[in-house]
Amino acid sequence: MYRDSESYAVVKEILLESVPHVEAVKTREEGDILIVVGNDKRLLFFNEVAKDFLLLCDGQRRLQEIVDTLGEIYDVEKNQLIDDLIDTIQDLQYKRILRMEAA
Amino acid sequence: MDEIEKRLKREKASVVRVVNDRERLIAEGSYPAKFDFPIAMQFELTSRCNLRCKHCYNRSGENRAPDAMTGDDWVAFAKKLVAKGGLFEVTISGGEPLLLGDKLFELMDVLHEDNTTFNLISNGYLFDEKILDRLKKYQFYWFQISMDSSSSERHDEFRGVKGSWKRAANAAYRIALSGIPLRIATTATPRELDHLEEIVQMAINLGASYLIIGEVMPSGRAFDNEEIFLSREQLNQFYSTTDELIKRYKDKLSILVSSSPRTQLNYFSTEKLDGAVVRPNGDVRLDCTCPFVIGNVLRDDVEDIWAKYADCWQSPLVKKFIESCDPISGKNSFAENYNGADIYL
Repeated sequence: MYRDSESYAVVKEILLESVPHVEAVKTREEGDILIVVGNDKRLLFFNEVAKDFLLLCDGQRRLQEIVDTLGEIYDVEKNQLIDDLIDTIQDLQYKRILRMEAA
Repeated sequence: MDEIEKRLKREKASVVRVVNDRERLIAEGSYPAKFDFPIAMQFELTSRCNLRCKHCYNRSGENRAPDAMTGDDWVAFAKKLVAKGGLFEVTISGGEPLLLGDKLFELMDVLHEDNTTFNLISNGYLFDEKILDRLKKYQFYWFQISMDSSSSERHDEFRGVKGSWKRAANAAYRIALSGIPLRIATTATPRELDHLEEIVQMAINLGASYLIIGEVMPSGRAFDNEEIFLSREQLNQFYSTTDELIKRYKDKLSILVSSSPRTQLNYFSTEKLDGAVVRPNGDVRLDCTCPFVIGNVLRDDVEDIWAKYADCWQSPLVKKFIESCDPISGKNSFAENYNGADIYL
């Protein structure tokens, strides 16, 4: 499995030291959902976990710091949380509302 | 099965699919079950109009009721919306919204600073370079210019003012040239049925990103001009022609064909996202295609009005209105939109 590979471990390390930047034009919280319009003007809806993650992306915190904060909120094993967030980051990058930058 | 029946079947399946997808997302926690505040609204800024189009759905320009919302009222209303979280999308229409002059831009500035994206519907008659320069800074999904024919003579006759086609074409071209996504809207009347391809080619020449072709909405002034409605036979021709044009021009232009009025109403009644039309007298209507008023922004708090929105679509009167809408012609045996009195819920 890719997630057990050396290359995934390296990618994970790089991402954890990177800083996520939100590229949204406009956001609004609607209960547990975050509504976002990105630069391509598409209206997107994100669930509670993605919302909590995006709200912590202030362009200052490294992903590792965000993982630590979310780890205190969610009762989930740390490595699982990191894997889930990497999936979320890929989805958000694909939707062009998140950019990762080296710290 | 004729083209109409095929079309209605397709539309019905499409609504079911959208509703099912939405229900699945709600169950997964990825979509709100209810919106505390609207995502989008339409502002009919004024009932004044410089044209007298035969099909005008809300009888603009007839001075039936003077505008109660002043330019300052619209600006104040926009500020209230922004203070409560703002809207993602605002459609500005009228009457002719450019008649609002500087206040139009003051209103748009308030929303623009909150990162709202606009749609603007105009006949293009008053458009000039100064207006274009002011519009360039805003974010648009589309700027719509209405052109009902590729012939200036037929367009001018339909819209009641000589020279209106030339001004619309000039406005459309300049909008597209500026990089604002241009949408041409055209109404399919019996007279234009054999000229739809010319309209498509005209839209491409003007640089349009989208062309929306709609049937006459059975509402308002259209009832004074029965000859502009398509017969069943003509509707069949309309659907087959537009299907063919969509395929033929798919690489050059995005052609949209409006759904039947009943399908639209059925869809809106399940939707919890797009919100309401604010009229020049401040009334908030469920939608421009039906006569139901749920509040007035000059009198009521917008959050209180919005709280009623989703439930009102399920009210017995609205359901009766939708059921009374003829699936093919769209004409309504229960109430005639913008001709009879509004119904307050």
